[in-house]
Amino acid sequence: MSLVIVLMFQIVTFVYGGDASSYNKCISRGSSPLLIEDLRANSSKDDSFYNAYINRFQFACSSCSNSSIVEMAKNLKDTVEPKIKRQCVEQSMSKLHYITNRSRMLCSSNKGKATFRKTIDGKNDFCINNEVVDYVHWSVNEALTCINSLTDNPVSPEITFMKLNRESKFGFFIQYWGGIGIGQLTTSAINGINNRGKAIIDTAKNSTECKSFHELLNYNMDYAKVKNDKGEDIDVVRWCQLVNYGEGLGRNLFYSLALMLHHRDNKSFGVGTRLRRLGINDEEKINYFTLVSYGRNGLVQAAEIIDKMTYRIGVKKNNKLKDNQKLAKQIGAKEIQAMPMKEFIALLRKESEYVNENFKSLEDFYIAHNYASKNKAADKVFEESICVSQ
Amino acid sequence: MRFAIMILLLNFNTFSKDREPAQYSDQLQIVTKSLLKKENSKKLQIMNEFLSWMEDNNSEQIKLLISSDISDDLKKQINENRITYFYLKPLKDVFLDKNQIPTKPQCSKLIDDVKYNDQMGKPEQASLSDRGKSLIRLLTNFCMK
Repeated sequence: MSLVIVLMFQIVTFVYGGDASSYNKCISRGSSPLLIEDLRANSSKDDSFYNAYINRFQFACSSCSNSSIVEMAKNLKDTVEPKIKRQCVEQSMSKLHYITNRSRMLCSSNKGKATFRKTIDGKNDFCINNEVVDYVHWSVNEALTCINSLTDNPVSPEITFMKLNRESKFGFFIQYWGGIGIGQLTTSAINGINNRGKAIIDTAKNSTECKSFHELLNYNMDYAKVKNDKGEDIDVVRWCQLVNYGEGLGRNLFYSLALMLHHRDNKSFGVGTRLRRLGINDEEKINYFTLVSYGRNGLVQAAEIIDKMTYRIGVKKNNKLKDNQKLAKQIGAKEIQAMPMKEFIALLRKESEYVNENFKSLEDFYIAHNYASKNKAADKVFEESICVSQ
Repeated sequence: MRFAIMILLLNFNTFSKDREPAQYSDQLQIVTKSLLKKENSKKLQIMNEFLSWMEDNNSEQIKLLISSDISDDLKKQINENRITYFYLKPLKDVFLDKNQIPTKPQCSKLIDDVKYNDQMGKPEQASLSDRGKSLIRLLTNFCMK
């Protein structure tokens, strides 16, 4: 295993211009080496998800054993097939020190004892270097590839980037009572998949594209008894299972993306099922409507907003339909189906606070990294998919 | 009892833009109590009337949401009412419209759905909202007892 790490280091050193110091340099304001040290120590442990990452590098190497290092690096790049661009993951993680109100949590395994670190300002935060970015970037795209192998309608990489940027800035070790890890998951969301969305897990276990997740999905999750804000006993998923370097990161990403499939495609209550019945089958719009269900009141909120938006738009089209709600909603649904995305998103942002917050974070990201000026950021979101490779 | 509920519901149904909208949360508690120790046919009757009343109210109130002459506060109250109705819509669509009472396992799933949606977007330690608790009591009295 250590030979592989050395080899990896040689490859990435080449990719990053042969300058080891630039690869190891902190790209975030934090300077604590704790995260990187733990990540390296973890490479010698038996973790199925981290091993899958290491094996990918081994594959890149074995497929070019007689070639030059240039070929090796090229093959490495080809095997990763990124959907979400590395540059955007790096830029998002470089601003992790702005998340000041949440703890950082380090776990070495599913059952490992957690090390907590409270960050008051960037100085006390973890150093994020290219080694960490590479691993997180691979993990996110591996999860997208897995989840999208389970459906004919891909989970949008654009929405995935927007959501992870907003939830955690890709900091898989971010933790507070409001959410755990890279997707800021809660026990409720985990249980939703484990109980009602179990078919997604079962299908993933048979998908070759989900091979990196097979072992972590077979693991029976452990719960802890805690008191809620009323002093009642509740069962909470033990956090290390959602944040540890290996399976914790993989599990968190899998469940975060599986939740989208669960809420969108469930035959009895799915947002997509509801929209298709109304004649709205634009997959991009269905994905954005589904995003509503990650916020307060979940699927109920999504159903209410669909009802209200179709009516409002139907009446706007023909004011005489004010008292004929059924027809107004039918006309409204047709209008939504035909509506340009930019107009649709503007309306959805007015209806859903959660969707609006996600777009606001994306606009802030565009401004912070000079992709757009302050007054152009809202439009830029629709001009090109800056963080997704086509 | 049925007469008393009807009077109360009709009373609230005369809502106009000049009055505060009927609070579904208040009605939930009244209907929940009225379901106790009733025959199934009576329970169905009460719930059908309650859901019809909510639906009629929604039809009136949704018009106000697109008008510009009511306050944001009032719109917020209407939205709260609509959310409460949409929590119960699966019960209406799948069971009440067929004049059926869910079996206990089906009822238990409906209660789980209320809990699930109530917890979405909230911190781990948050207890159920008052709305969530009221809806669970209503469903419990309707199809778990």
